[in-house]
Amino acid sequence: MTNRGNRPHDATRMKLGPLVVPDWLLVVIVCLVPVGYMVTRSFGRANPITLDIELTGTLDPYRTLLSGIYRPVLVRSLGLAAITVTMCLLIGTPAALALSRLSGRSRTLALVAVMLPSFVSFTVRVFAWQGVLATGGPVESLTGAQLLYRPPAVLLGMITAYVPLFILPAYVALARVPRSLIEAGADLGARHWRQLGTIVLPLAMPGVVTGAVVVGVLSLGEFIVPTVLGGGKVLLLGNILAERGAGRDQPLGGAITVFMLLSFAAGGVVVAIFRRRAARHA
Amino acid sequence: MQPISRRSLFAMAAVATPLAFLAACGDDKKEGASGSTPGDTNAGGSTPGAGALTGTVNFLNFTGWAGPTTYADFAAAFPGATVNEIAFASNDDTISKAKDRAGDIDVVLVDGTTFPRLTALGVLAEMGDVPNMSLVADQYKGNSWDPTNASFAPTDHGRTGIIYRKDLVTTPPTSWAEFFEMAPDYSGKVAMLDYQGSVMDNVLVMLGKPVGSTDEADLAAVLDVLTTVKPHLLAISTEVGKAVAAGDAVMAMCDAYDAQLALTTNPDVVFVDPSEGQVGYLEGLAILDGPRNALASAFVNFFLEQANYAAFINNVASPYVQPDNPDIDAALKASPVINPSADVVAKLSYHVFLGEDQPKFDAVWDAFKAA
Repeated sequence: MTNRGNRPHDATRMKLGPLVVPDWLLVVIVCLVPVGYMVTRSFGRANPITLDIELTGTLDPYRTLLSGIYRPVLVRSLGLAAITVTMCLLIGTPAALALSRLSGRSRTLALVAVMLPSFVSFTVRVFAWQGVLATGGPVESLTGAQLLYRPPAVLLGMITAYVPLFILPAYVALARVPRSLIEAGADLGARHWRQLGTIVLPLAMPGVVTGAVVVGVLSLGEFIVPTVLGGGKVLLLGNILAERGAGRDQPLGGAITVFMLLSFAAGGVVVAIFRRRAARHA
Repeated sequence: MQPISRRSLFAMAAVATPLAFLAACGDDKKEGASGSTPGDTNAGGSTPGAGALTGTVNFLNFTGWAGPTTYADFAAAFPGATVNEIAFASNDDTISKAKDRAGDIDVVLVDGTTFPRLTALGVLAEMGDVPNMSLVADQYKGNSWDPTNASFAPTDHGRTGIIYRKDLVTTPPTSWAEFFEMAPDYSGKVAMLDYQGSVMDNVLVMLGKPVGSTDEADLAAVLDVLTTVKPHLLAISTEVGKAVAAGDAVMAMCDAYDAQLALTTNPDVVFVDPSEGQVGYLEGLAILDGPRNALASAFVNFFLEQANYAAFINNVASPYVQPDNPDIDAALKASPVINPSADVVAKLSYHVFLGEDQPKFDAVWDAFKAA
């Protein structure tokens, strides 16, 4: 027999159990119901006149999504999301590492600087970039480069929008790496790069991967940036979802939703693998 | 007053929709109190008359596509009556809202492609007493989608043409064919309107095909024209007038009202009615069946009243349907963009309702944008 049931930890769980039920119900209603609604619609046919959905169990929306028309969009969306994640990793990881090494007021100031853009509406920031990249704008005036309405502008907009969202979880993970382990590594002769590669990054990997997944998820569904900075010429999955899936062709929107869910699930599996490896390493 | 760009209205609609939704929620409560009481003078009435009609008209409209004080003036003319404008972002959005809020939306701004869809939904009501319909020129009445004007009161129309910068383009385009031929010469400086029907129907006109054709070969030819020009486009945008006026683009496919705003902003902007002809739209107000049909009719009649109608046109700077209205700004009447010649009107046709064939049209547009 064990006295486990009398431990304070379990007692707390017993008390909280009924209290969290309404929260979980709310989560289910708010999160799962809309997704379930869209997934259900992915097996239907839309009446183009009345927009009524006839649920027939058809797979036509999936065939349409994978057809020649939308295949370039799928490839472009996945490619752009991958590039955005890679760039956020390359830019954000050193920034998060530097942030984690700061202390006191300088750390606070640096954190505020990273977070400051997020205090402004996302749409406003994207339109601000439109002004910066426009003909006669600062970028063209200084460099002569006309980036607006071209793919580099979309990439720039996405990276600048999402890099703070990568830095934060990466920073939290990096800041939690015990200094004693780094010092122990140093005592055993590990130089800076070796400390970084064998101690710091492996332990912080769950945070880094979480940041990457967040960026990947948001990039894959992005539609404001390509519309505003891509001039409507760089069509992404998010644009189809907004233009067709939310209107005349909800079944196609449902199929895109499922595609995105599967992509996110794949990201979740990657995070889980990294977490398990990190736990073993620790 | 500075005319409002309809494209800007679309952008504003995204911001206004949640606010309109909240406002509508608030008004629902008011309606519940006044609209459902047995003594409501509004329910089932047929003769509009100031003082006899109360309640809120829920008006599904482009944000601000009215006179600057139309709603306040209506409230003043009909004590106890108000107007709640609900923004829509597309024709599909209109259908969704008309379905989801059946019986609650009273008046809706529609064109000839949306009206048949509302008919299919069975949500339209016949106009009540709208004597000001007589102010609308006959040429805008008796359309295929409502031959007797039982449920459609025309308010404005528009057409797609070409705008260019006369200081930046050496040989002005005069036809759709020249527009597409010249695009490579101005690669990266050509803008395309981001309206599927406007672009595709006008390409069909250029190719000598029927407007709204869903013939496979015709659509393949349209796609070929569009994908050929795409590498030379600066943008596919709803704000092409702004881009040309600013010099980001030197020529564009552009709607008349947007062109009017652009040439008001920059005198070097020129609007051309292409020689092959053009496709455009005719918009009007329709009444949806519900408990406030008499009030809705009174609103439509008020909207078409000479002074109110002129205030609307002067505000939005759109081609109009009351050519004899003396209150419309002289500058607008003098503008060939807003007040086209008989020759232009003779070559003008309206977008057609595609019914079940709509997805074929959609697929070509998506293929163009995805390319």
